[in-house]
Amino acid sequence: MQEVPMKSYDVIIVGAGHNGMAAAVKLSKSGRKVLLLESSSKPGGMAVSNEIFKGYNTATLPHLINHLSSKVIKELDLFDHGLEIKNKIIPSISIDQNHNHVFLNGEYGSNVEGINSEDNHSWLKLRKRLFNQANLLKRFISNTPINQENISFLGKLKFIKAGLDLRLQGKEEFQEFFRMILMCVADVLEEEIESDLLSGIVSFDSTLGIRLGPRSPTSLMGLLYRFSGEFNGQQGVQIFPVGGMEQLIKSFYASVESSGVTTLFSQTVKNFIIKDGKIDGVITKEGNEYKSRIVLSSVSPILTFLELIGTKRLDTGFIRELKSLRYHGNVSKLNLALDRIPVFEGLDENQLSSRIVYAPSIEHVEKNFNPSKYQELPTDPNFELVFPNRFDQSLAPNGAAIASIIIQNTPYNLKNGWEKSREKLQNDVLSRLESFSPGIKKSILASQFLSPQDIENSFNVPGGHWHHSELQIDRMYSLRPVFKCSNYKTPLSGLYICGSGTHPGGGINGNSGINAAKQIIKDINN
Amino acid sequence: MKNNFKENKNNFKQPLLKTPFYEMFSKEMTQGYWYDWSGYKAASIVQDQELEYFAIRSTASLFDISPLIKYRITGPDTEDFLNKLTIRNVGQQKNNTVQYTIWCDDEGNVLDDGTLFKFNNTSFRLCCQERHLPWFIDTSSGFNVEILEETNLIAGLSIQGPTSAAVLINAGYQSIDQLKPFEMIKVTDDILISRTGFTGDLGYEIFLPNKLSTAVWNNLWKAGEDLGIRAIGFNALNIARIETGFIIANSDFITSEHAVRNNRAKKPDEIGMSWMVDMTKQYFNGKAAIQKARENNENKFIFVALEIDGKEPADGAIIYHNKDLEVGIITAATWSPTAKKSIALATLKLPYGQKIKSNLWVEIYVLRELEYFKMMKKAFIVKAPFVKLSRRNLTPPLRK
Repeated sequence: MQEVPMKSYDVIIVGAGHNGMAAAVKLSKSGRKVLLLESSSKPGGMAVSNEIFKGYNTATLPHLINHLSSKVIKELDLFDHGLEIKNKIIPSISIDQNHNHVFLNGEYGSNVEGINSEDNHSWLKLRKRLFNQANLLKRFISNTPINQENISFLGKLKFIKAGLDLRLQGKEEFQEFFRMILMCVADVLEEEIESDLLSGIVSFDSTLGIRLGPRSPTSLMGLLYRFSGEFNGQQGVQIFPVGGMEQLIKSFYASVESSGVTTLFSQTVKNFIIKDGKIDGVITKEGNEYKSRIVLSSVSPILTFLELIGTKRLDTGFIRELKSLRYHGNVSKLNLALDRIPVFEGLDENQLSSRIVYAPSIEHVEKNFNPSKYQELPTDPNFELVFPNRFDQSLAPNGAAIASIIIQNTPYNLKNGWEKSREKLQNDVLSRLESFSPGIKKSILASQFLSPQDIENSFNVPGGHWHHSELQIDRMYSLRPVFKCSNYKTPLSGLYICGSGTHPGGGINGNSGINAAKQIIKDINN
Repeated sequence: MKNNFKENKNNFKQPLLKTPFYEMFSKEMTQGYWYDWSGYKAASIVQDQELEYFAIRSTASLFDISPLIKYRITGPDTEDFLNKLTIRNVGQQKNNTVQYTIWCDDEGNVLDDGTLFKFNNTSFRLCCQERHLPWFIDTSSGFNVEILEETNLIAGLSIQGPTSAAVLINAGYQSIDQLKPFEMIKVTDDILISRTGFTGDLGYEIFLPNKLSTAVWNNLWKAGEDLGIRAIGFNALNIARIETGFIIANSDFITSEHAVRNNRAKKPDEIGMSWMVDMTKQYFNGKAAIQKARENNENKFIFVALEIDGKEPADGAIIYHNKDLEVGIITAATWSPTAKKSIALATLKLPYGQKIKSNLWVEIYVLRELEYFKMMKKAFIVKAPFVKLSRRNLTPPLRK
């Protein structure tokens, strides 16, 4: 007798990105029958890798980890499923045209080379304060945000406790927190730091991935969010897994497989089945129907609501809120296959195992941001560069290199259109790179470029935003993606959401998947 | 757009707009009681409030409804759109009929009430108190519809009273003879007449292009000469509508876009409109919230009709239980000349009005020659309407 494929599940999860996979494992371990649907042919979502040239494997988009919490690693037993981290902390370099580079070693510059001793002193003081402030925010990352449906005594207590802990650190820290929390990063840096290169890289890191410049109010929040990430108790660090980002996703998927989740690839959810005002399953473009009373969508909130449910079935006030989301991306990616290991003046070969940032000053970063307000590209773009095969040699042939470059301030909508601008943007970045590493242009064997519009098309993320929608203070915690569904529940009974568009937000994180799964388990048990 | 803005920049300095019937009412007006209705100059009293009331109940009254906000909604998805917008089932509404309806926000609170005229399933007119174009446009996302505000394009006249059918027939609109309540008919290419009104009496509403207003008015005025026709203002109409138990937005309830304070916005269940909520519809805006409030007993108010001892109208009075506990407020009150009673519409805080219906008292203050008389009058919950007239529903209608 032929086996009839099972079509009814306890929970269906839309999208096998890392958050979808994290949720799948958590739910499956709680004894639920889980179906994971993925539109592409492999897991990973926006964190997939690809071969850009024969023998050159690299992460298509994000190339480092800075938010993977130990809680998520533990929930998914990632270390038992193939995740291995060797050279744990990746240093950062703020590169200088005159080769007086600044090196941030340790946990985000616990030890900085290339600045004077006064700056060093001020930086360590500032860094300590910022880490401390980030720690306050970190407490809320693995919690479901408080909203109109989710107000518990314990939830409130958490706030009170955070406030109390802050106060107990003394009056100064308490006052400084409230003074600084909405400040722009430029003002904070100018109070303390003289070095342009140090201020430049910190400004860049505060605003990477969002549409703010260092002089925009609240831009410090981006830095605090970055510092709220940790690995193995080390705060604000970037790490790279053995085998590359692909191996990280493989470990997620191995965990999914071993927990008994059914995963189907090349199944693109077209719309939801709604029965008596409640969700009752999904229909795929491939023509399949899967039944479930609970659906967890890990794709972008815009896609989930405006396309998969559709505005006809959503309350008008809710549509208004969703349409006000800023979900147009600002970041492009350039991946290069190089036939040799590039030479950077002022850096030895070992130092190429770093995160290299081109952001020479606050002013430079601010001027980079300005054109994006008018749908234009910067003339001398800031970027972050890593050579993934320097962390793991297996990713490219011996003696060769992959350059993975994140380019900031490249808006989704361009006045001149992307078709006319993509060549110029790449050339501008490469020319700048050439000035640091003469000959690098000639060594390019192949390149892969993704603008926000390309990201939208390749990854099915409306707007092509790396975080699904802007991760700014007005869209964090209870307000992410909007107040009504910040507890991962939606106005459509039985439909839940997770992913970068929900709390806590972007980065390879996994917390939103785990939080949403917990919410579902709680609701089922009630 | 630019020009419009320029023109309207000083609109707060300009006098109120005049309706197409302004000149006619102005000619009849002896007292000068005008009020602002949606930016238009409208009559409160034309000559004498009582005579005007008795025109509604005994002969025929003409009331200018041109300031009603009117939307024309057309296109292939119109019915689906209106089914999302409103709480009643538009699919079940027959062509050429009118239905009284309500629409709600996401929280299930009432945005406004109005009358929905169905020509066919791709063409409707919605008349209401307030302007809602932004809400309608945002609600129409995904539907193929066109929404046009036609308030200043279409004039309206309400003719109410026992001789109203006779006046219309006299005026040459014989086809209204067959109209049942809530039905409508085009008596000419341009003139639409519906058997509707705000009085609980026999009556009709006439919608016409502005340019025909003089001709239609003259026609009716002449046809009604021997049938007691009279131009009336809102005050008389208000008495008739209270007698019928009809509510007015922002008078008997606060619409959710106007409500500033917590608890002021109300769900249909809290303003006596439970009968209208069609829970068998797959979906409508606010359905989930209304359902949840019902399941969790979250509704806090109930709308009731009251008969009050004595003859003093109890406008705005506080309602007490056992003469000491405040339990509600009167939103509209009058002495009913037809029922010969002091009557009122009121909102009570639950469980009063539902589980506890007796021992209700109304505190009335009456000013008599610079001295206040305070009285505690007993109030009784009754079923509206206070005045029920068989001629309202009789078809064919009374001719005399």
